[in-house]
Amino acid sequence: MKDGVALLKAAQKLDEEALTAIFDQFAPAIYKYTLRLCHDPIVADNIVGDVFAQLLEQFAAGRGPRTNLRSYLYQTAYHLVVDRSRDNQHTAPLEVAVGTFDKSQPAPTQTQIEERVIMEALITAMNSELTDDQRHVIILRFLEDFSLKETAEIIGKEVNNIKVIQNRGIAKLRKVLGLQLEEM
Amino acid sequence: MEHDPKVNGVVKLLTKLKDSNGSYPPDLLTSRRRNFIRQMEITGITTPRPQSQTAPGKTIRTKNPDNHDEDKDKVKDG
Repeated sequence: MKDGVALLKAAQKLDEEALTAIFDQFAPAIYKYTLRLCHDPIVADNIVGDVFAQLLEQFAAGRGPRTNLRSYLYQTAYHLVVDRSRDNQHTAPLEVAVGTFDKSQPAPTQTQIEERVIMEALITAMNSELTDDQRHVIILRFLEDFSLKETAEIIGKEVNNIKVIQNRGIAKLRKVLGLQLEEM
Repeated sequence: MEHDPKVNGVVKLLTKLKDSNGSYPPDLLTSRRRNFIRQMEITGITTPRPQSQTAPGKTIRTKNPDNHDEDKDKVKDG
């Protein structure tokens, strides 16, 4: 299996195997990221399709990412999500994320119930209290593990600006969740 | 700021969300992958498989074949 750099170089040369490997490696993550933002599986799937269609188009034209492929793909997905939210005139909520807690498991313990309540409060706060920029930065930084620099590149802002947006977002969440966290 | 336990608490909660579900439904992923391979054929990157009806290498412009929104936009615009 090719490493990241070799894979990217092969993809730039339109190597079918490399392009397919890139799809297999990144499509599930891009789907999860877009689903977090748009909470619609079909829309998320369409965005994945658009992301990879654009990637092919760029490579075929001799352009596309030269270094950080992952950031590039997320950047494309980010812009597509933002464009769609503008078109649809709504902000992108995050509600899918909580659907996660294993509903199939039998009776949850008291701790699990408490945790779930806090997580739901967190998601509600992310949807209702944060600005779009704060939500995007926090998702990219803490849910997708991008560095400040990478987040800045994806969103198209300066690193210092990202730091400010992140800190304000965290402060806002801390304020909203203050009581719950004190109880933890 | 990193030493504030409440801030750390928020970050800890956020990282827990990372493990939340949202995995690609297998049928959607399979279909999306198939379309991606078809797009490679359309752009002339790969040789079409025998069952494919698409002609390779005619154009560089690609389109996401399953994105019905694009068609909707055309209707809206036109």
